Amino acid sequence: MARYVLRRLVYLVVQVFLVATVAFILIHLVPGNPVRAMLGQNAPEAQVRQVEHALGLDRPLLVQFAAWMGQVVRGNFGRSVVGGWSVLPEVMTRLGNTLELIAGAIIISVAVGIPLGTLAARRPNTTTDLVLSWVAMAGISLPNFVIGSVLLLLFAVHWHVLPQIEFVSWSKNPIEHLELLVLPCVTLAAASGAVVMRMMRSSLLEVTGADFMRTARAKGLSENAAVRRHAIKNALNPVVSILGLQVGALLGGTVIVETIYGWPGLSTLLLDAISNRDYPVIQGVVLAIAILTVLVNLTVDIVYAYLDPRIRYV
Amino acid sequence: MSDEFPRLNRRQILKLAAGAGGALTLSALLAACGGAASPSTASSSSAGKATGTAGTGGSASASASAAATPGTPKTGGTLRYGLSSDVVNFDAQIQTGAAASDVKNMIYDTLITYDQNGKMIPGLASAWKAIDASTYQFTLRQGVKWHTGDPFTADDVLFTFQRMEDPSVGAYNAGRFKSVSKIATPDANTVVFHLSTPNAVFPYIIADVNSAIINRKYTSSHNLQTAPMGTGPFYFVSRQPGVQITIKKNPNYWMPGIPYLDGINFYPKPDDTTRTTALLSGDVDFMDYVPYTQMAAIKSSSKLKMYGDEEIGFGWLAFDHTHQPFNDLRVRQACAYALNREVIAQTAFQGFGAPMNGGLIPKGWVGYDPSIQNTYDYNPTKAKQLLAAAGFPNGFKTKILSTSTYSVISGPATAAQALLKDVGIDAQLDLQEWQIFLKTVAGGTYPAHIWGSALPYTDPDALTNFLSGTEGTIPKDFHYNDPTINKWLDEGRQTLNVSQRQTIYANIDKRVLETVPYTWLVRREQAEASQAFVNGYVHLTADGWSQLMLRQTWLAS
Repeated sequence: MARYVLRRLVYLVVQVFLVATVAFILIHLVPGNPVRAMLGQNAPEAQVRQVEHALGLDRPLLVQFAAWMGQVVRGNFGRSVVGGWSVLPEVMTRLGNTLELIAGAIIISVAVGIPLGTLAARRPNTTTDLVLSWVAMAGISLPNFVIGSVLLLLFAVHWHVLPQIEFVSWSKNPIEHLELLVLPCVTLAAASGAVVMRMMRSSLLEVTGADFMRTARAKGLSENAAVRRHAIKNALNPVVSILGLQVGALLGGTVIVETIYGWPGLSTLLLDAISNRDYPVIQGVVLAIAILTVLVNLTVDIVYAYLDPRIRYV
Repeated sequence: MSDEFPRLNRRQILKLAAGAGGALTLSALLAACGGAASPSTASSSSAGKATGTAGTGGSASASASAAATPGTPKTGGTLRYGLSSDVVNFDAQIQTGAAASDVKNMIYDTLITYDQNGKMIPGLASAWKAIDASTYQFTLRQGVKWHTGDPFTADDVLFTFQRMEDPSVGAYNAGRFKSVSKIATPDANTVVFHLSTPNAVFPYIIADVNSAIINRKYTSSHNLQTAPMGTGPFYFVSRQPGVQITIKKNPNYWMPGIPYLDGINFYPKPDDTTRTTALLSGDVDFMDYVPYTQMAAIKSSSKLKMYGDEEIGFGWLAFDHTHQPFNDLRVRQACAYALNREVIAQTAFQGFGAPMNGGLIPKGWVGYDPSIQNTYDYNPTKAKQLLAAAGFPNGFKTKILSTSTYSVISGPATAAQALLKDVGIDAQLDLQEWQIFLKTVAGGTYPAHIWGSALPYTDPDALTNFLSGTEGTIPKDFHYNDPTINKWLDEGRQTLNVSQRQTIYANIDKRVLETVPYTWLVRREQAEASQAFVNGYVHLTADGWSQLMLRQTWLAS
């Protein structure tokens, strides 16, 4: 197991390097540059060239890439071209905020999706099942900018609970911070919660028909006890893998959610940086996202082994 | 005189979700799953900025301002401001958009500033005069202190303009000061600018926020980009990225009694809906860039106030006359007649815009000529006749370039496309992301483009960027270079005589209507809004930055 984790960590370095390379190439292929964004559309070409030279942006791409990689290896992610601030601390702060959103969304997805999915599977093709599948359908189909805007209008404007005025950090006031988290996390969790619910339902239905369940019933366990003791853990594996994949989807969802709720996370930073072609910031954020995704996948694989002892990594 | 392009750069938030989607796809690939690139919501950021002659308050001088808003100004209170974009750079000389300039205007001072009527008044210079059109003398205000407590000196002024020349600074106004051949400080209180070419609008450049005065000593040991320091009405306290920018009252400000507010908290809320929602729910007291969809509701609410103008933000359709068939004047005229600008104003701006059937110079400005204002009143019959005469009785197919990033540009473009189709011109509209659009338009490959901007200051010299084939940046994009216009623009800039300038600029406006390199579309409204208890704010149409007026804003409750 330790060897397996170690090997995966080596892969991580390779994967992250590949992502960094592709991101670097992509962002430089897109027309536009940060100096134009800084100096404005009317700046004379000569001035743009001068500033580009001063910032080292006129060097060959390969040289720029090597210089950047050299910095990153030494833990220096450079400075924002447009803002002058250092990239790493900013990315770390934002990453924390985004992770909170994602963690909150996953907790809600699991807390709501698994019990409701179990309920639906225990009463297949009943009214309960039908209602729940409609709820799930709505959660999956409604775009999160619709859900987000409606929740914001209802809770913040109409009823004036859960106001969304200013971001309060955890260290300043934990209660207010959690209050602020509620709406964005619920918005973000709508789709993933629905997916978890549906996956739990179908997976549990499959498991309850399995041979070992028949054995459990035959040895005299009640249906409830059989499900609780034997079925649920066996049904969880696909749900966990779906959850792992949901992290990627949730990261995508944060683009909308962070913007609607003014949440200072990684996505809003990335969007700003892309529109300004602020290369070091874009690269820093992409790198953070890549590392995050790879680590989440590793975690999921390890949780598999715990849930299903038949899985062994060598 | 900050023009609007850089502010456009900052105003986009969701439009680039495609790019973000790309990055997310990468992570999704790693996860070996179909990562979800989320659909992006449409944020209709308004662009450009108001300038012009008179504020909506419509009152004169400080006392009259008090008359316009009931009661006498009260001191105290913190204004909560919903800001259209986060501020990533506070360096006075670097232009990073509207939001940044609004905040910088509160921290720094310029030598010349504006009053609530948009009139230039002394700022850090207690007086200035044009010795002639190429020599400007500024007398510096005495007893002004920096936020650090140090006295303000002529050396700081000298340092400010020297620093602009350093390319590594990336000073936005560096190009505008190229014509300054020498800056002299004959005594400790006087600064004289010698220009290599006469320039009647030099004071506008001095009054621009990007020409604000910075401190030599402080700048050598601090980073202005993250820790700005000036002589302005408020001093910088902190910025939490994406969360809040805090500024507090400068108790030693040189304008007596100013500012009234104890401080301003800026909350970046780039999404139009979110920003408006915050105002409606009372979570903020003030917001900038009111979206067009909300203007009617805000205007009719008794709890809210709206401040706006329909003067300096405008849009255009430009024709490349090196391309068939726009090399034919009749075709260009046909387009000008075919565009029902009422419809454009209605569909793109919910009616909050003024059709431009005539010239570009707004009413009340030097050079405004009432007799040309109906030149291209909507006339589809005439448009079809002109097309037939040019050999296109059944119209033709063409391509128009525009940008999807700003709804203030893509809205009119979409409306214009439909209106052109009505007279037989079948235009394919290519909407590109902002930076890509800038690159494409500079390549000059499209037969026509639709774009929008704002006049950077209230002098008709502001037309230069749009009309001069030698100095303007936009004419290059469609191979437009009219030597007569170039000559007239030079003459207008080099004389201080108002009646001569009236004739010159009226002629320019008229000639553009005759030769139709552009046809103008709609002057869009640009507005801020606040709670009713916010007083003293005036929407300036006179300078790029209305938010200067926050220094005289006060809260009734």
